[in-house]
Amino acid sequence: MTVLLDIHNVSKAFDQLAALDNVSLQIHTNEFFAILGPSGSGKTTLLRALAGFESLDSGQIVLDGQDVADVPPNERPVNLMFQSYALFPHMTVFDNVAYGLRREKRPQGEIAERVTSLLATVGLGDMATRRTHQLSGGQKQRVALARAIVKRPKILLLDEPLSALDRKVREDMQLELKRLQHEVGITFVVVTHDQEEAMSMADRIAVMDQGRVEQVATPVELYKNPGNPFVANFIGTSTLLRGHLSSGRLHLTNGVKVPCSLPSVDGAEIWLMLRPEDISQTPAGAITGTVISTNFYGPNCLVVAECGLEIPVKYLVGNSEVPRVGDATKISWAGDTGVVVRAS
Amino acid sequence: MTGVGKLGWVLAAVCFFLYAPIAIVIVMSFNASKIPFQWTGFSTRWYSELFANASVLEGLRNSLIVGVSTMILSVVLGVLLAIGITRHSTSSAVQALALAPAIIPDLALAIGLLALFSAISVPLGLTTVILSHTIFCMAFVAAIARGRILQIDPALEEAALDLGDTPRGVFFRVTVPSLMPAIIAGALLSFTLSFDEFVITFFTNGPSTPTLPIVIYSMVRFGVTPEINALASLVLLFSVAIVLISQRSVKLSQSI
Repeated sequence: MTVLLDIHNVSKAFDQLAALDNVSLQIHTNEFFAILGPSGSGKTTLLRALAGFESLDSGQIVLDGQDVADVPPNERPVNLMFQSYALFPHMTVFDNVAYGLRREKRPQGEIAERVTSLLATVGLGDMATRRTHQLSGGQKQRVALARAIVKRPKILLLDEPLSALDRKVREDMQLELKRLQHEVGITFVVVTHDQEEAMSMADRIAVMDQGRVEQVATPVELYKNPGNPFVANFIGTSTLLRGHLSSGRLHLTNGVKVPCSLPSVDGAEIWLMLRPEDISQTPAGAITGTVISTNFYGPNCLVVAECGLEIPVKYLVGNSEVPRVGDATKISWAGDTGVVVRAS
Repeated sequence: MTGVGKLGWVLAAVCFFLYAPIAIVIVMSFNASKIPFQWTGFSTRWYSELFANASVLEGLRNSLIVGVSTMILSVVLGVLLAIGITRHSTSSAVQALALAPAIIPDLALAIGLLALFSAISVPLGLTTVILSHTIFCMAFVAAIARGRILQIDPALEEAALDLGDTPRGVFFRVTVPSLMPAIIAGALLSFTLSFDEFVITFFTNGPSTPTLPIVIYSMVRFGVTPEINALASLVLLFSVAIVLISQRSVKLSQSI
């Protein structure tokens, strides 16, 4: 795999508040890459820096072997799909999509051909003469997408691409974005706060928090082996128990001991991450507690129970054994389940 | 009920004092008699006499020159001013200063401009009138354009830049078209403000280039003639037409 974009030690502060703190990332050719983080994590600043709208305090952005840190946005071979779509309201759908090609002074015939075929690809073949205010949210997004890829940029940046859409349209667009990325063969970099969106679309994900990259990995790897407690907590649902290991048990800070036979350095402070599916509700369970809430999904149900382990425990039960809030419960997990997470 | 009844009387009185003078002027402009308020028959005589009056035509010509020049200067400078104070300044003092000429009393502005022009020995004439009108019309344009700029998505300009356009191209292809409703409204407003402006014109104009309001004023000094009624009716018709056009264009472009 060749590195297309090398973000090297990039830092940026606003009023002495670090938005990007020594960020380094490598994005490969034809990858669908997601930058995931809560609001204020610096992900949007990073995206705007890639597009050229934010200058860097330090570091390099090397695109295809060229340092673009000082290249203005209109000269970068990168296009951005804005969160608000930013369609030009005084132009038709066709003129919106043709905007970038016209600035390249392409021949009329080529422009018409490329715009028309791309509009057909995104399913808007019969909308070319419409004004943008006559379109639905999903259609606007397709126009914005077509406008951003018509110039065949080396990288397409997408800022929260699905956040403005209804749930049903979102699911369709997720598939559509994947399909389109394969079809046009452009590297996609998506910024999102929605982990479901990132997990379902991206080949690799960078998790950001407070201006730093916490972990870069595939969705499966992030879920199975979070690199630190922030990622463990942010990705998916989990119960994170803090303590130290000693002779096959985890000693919590409140003195309670729970099973954990995973290999780790004895005595060092660790977090034991248990996914809801790791814990079972069983009459033979050694840990007792009280159900404080239930969340029914259909095939199964997420139960939150207070078991005296410093934080409530979250676990799954089948739909035939859903407890009621206030019920006493018994749970257990095998000593070799879960993942040991260390502070980074 | 009684409260509404009393307010109804206030409304009727306001409407009377607002529209009765206008109605009288229009009706009297078609009066055949030379004596005011004595109806002797319908006639368009005063309109034809008006168009034979050389000083009225001269005033109209000067007013049109001033109005159109002021309109162009005010729109260009006012839009740039609005972009400057909304995009490149966070100081409320700068904003207040930029919009001040719109609320400074005409008389203060007029005296100040006259003093300035004589201090730097600029001969008074249509040029000084245009400059003076532009100062306060520009502030009106800036106020209108500022409201529009705050409404438009700043990502529009970034999107154009991202698609490879130059900053200058973005300004003419995206910024200006987005501001078009404000530009049209500002242009028509500054034209009408300039066209019937009296106080500032009176102070900053030279003796050889009277504008229409000044011509009317010098005619009225010898009493209101039916000819003036005809002139006032035409000015009214013209102003109303411009306001209607501007409202229509703003409505049209808002629906886009």
